[in-house]
Amino acid sequence: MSVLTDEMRSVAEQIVAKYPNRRSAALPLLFLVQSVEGHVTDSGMRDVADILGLTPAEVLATGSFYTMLKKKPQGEYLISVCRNISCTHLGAHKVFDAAREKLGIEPGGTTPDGRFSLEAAECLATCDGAPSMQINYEDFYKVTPSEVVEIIDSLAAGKDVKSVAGETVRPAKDIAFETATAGLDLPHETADTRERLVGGESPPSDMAPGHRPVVPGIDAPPAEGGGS
Amino acid sequence: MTQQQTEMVTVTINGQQVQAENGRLLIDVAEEMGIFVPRFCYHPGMKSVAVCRMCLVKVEGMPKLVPSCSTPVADGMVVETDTPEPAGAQEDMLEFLLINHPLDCPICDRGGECPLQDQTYAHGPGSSRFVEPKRTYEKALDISQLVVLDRERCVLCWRCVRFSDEVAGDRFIQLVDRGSGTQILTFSDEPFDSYFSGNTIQICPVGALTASTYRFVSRPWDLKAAPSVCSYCSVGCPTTNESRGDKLVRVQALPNENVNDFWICDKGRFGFHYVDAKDRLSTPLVRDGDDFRSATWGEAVAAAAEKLGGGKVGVIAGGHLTTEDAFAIQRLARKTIKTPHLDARIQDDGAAYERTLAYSGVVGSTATINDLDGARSIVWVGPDPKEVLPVLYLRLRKAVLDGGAKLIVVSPRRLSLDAFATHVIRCEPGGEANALSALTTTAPVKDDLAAPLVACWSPANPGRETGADLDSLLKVAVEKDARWLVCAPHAGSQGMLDMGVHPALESGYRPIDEPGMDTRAMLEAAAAGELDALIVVGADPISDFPNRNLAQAAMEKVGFSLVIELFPTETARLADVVLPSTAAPEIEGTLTNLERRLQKLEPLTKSPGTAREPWRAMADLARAMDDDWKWTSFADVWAAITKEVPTHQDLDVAALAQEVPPSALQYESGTEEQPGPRGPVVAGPGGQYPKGHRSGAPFKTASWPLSWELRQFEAKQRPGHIPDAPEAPEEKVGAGADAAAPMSGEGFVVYAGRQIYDEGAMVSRSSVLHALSKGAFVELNDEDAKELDVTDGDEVTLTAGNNEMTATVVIADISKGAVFVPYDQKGLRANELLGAGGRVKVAKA
Ligand code: SF4
Ligand code: SF4
Ligand code: FES
Ligand code: FES
Repeated sequence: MSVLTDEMRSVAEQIVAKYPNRRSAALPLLFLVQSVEGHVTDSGMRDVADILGLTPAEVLATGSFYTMLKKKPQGEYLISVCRNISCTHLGAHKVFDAAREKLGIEPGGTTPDGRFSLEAAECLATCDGAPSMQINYEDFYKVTPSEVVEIIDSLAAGKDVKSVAGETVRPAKDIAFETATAGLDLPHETADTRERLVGGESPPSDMAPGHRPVVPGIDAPPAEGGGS
Repeated sequence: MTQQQTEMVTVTINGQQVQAENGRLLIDVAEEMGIFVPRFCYHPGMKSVAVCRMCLVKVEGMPKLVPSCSTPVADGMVVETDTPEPAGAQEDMLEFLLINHPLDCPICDRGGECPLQDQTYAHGPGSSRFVEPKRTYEKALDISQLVVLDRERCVLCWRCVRFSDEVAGDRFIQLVDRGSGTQILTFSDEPFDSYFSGNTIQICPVGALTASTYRFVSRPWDLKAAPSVCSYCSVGCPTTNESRGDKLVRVQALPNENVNDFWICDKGRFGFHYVDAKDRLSTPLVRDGDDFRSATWGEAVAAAAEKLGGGKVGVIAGGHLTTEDAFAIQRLARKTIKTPHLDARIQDDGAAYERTLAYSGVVGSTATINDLDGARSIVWVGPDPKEVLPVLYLRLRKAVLDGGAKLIVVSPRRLSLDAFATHVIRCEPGGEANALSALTTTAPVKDDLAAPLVACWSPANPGRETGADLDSLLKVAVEKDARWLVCAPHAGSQGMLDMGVHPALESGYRPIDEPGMDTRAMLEAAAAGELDALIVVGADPISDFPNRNLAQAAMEKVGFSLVIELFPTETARLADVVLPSTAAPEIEGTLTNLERRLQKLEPLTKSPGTAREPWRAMADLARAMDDDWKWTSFADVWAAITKEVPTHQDLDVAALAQEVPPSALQYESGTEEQPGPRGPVVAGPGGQYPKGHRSGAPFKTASWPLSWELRQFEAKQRPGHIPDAPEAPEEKVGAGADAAAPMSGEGFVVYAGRQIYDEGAMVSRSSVLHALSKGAFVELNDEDAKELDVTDGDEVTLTAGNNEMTATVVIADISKGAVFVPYDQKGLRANELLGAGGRVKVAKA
């Protein structure tokens, strides 16, 4: 009951080839499974174990440590609202409640149509944009309750939604595939191939070390040569 | 093997100065001084990981407390383990560990011998500040037939995970998830399917892993324990047998760094229920027409003795008997009955152990198991040690993975050793000898054959001539100045060779000029009606001899047969007289393992009815035949052995016996602390405890030996004894091997081998293990499978002569033209196939 097709297995072999030890490819291969199944399934873990020569239990032990690898079915868009202190002070719980009401699901839940999941996140390391939110790991800052409802409506209607950094929010499976295959030169890769880091940060090229990209309307221009 | 100069350093621990080897772990050095640093994750049989932080101590000059389990001693180190700073840290660690612990000691099997309980008494805070709800999990998950997991009790010490990874290589149990949700788990529906899983139960420092066979069975203080030796395979792992009332309820590993380190296999641990199997024989039986009637011991012995006095008599003994039984058997045969026909090789019929005599003074091993650790190269020729000599497999694995030895495996099929072997040489069944003779000349293998080298051999391929492959191996060994482990299969097999239960050898490895008949010849003679009487002791040739029909015919046609057995085996059912025998946990005796090490068994439980040790039966028979040996005790037998067996004449059997601490330390209640050095004190809160258990000791005691851990360390003191090898005799017994005759004929060559759990008389009566046996399967090479148009999981019919059986196909790495079948599984008795010439036809069912 393999979930990775022959084509996916050949992608897997290319991923494996990047590492000195086969077992080092466990995480990207689990993302590959997630890109096919939407989450990390038992049969997917068995496939990974089979490819890497590990036991399924070892794959489970590795994969279960990482929260971005999902252990249960996950919506196409994962809305993560920060619940830590800065964001809470600035009203994150209201944003959270608005999303919860709009979607009719509890934190950790997924809508019956499989489009949206909602989670309460720990500090997203963007406290200066509080209340912070991510959708499929793209950042949204200073989010208001009405904004979150709007964004959900747009995504539900299939419209493009852009993050603070101007990135289009893309479906979870795409993100998983990109994460799995980062650094591979794949002929059949999607048109939207940019150098990205997992988590949707912008490319590092336009950043001074230690800086985050300037977000118009939120960030003040950085001081010359200053750190953050 | 290598001698290394060790530098000594001076360390001061709790004000006491001590000399220690440089680089040793602080926790060990302290312990040897009698200072026990509390611990959970550290275990001397595994590498340190320092994850539990229980063993924090203060080292002068270090900015923070350090874990003593991963800190090597250095010269001038000054250490405090019990001053307020380290003691406070230890206390805090325990408070943390108990935050989510369910504290269900009253219903936990570990209660009373639990390191967490003990250390909490000795080092814990006494109460908790945590008032929030505890994290809960579903309790009691069966993660295999044998092991039950309670995640709430787990302290995340990683011992079980590390054991399965480092020691056994069966990575089926893992730490899953993260943070406060971190838990021990197996993968969804995949069980903890390891032959060594029971060790995790023994080393788990809490009751998170428990044995399905021991749940709610006893409290440790209600157990009686006796040191013993596993009577299954020839590794001879030391064990403690533990009983409640007169019922054997638990078997655990006794550590012996010479033999088993800290481990035993699940067969040794869980395979003891045979002792009180329903069909255990408890009274002598005498044939009465088609049936048996029970008889008194005297009556049965007299009936047998009458038939053994004259004529041609054969004696066949099994592999699970003690050294004393072996001695008595050969004495009865050679001295009393005066027959030269005796043998103890049944499944290993014809195994030419005596070939080693041409090169050394002994029949069997010249190396010890420990020699594997210092070896640069190891050669293995034989069956899969994971199946037949499980703990030797662990030692081989350790020698390769930790010791860096290069392993060279010669086998017709893939063995579990292949996974870490440097060279694997595939040959045809019977082609081992040729493959071996090429070893020293073929690159790259020859470059990896470096001294110190240990050459290992054990009989594989039952029913086939094996002298040639052993001979080739010994030649390689001699050329490379190596020692060897020549492993007879069962716990008692080597003892049989030592004591001369062999047609060509007297006790003490003395060759006989005119050898008697071996097992096969005896069975053939009996089947031809040419044998007047057959004595079978602790053996079931009909199930085990690689020609079932021959064994059956022999038992049917022989003039008279006496069988001494634990159970009404197929062989016993055809006997004329049956005497009930004893099981290992019931007797005082010795077993000789594959490195010729004698280890002592102490009796614990009572034998049923009038069952007696085979040596007593032999002595009784001798007396009935007017040869009174005047043996009444184990000591009498040993007196005779030291007199009559040259290799054993200096052996002090008393030195083998050492006391093992009881399973739970018992304490006087209400005693005041005495000044001066303290004996073992386990702390307790001083309340009223049943039977004086742990009461009276002050709360918090620095000198605190864990009942359970202590047992492990003290027990190390039973090394056993390997008798010196005599000079090699001039006459080279059996030297000059006959090459194995090439198998010709139609069909596939049958290559058979035992599996750990089979239909053997003892294992099959230990129901938890019997359920784990693999059943009828046949391994085929993928090319052969294609030609037969079958694939993994298909059913095929195996036909040999008149025998036909079905088995499930397993595609495997096995030499083309050969099939592997398990020797003795439900629905597949290889000895029926082997009897018909060793070839089998395979067809899709
Ligand atoms: S189950 Fe036992 S051995 Fe395994 S990590 Fe938990 S406490 Fe340690
Ligand atoms: S390895 Fe052999 S001697 Fe040791 S416990 Fe297992 S069966 Fe018994
Ligand atoms: S507290 Fe919300 S991003 Fe840090
Ligand atoms: S025993 Fe030292 S850290 Fe666990």
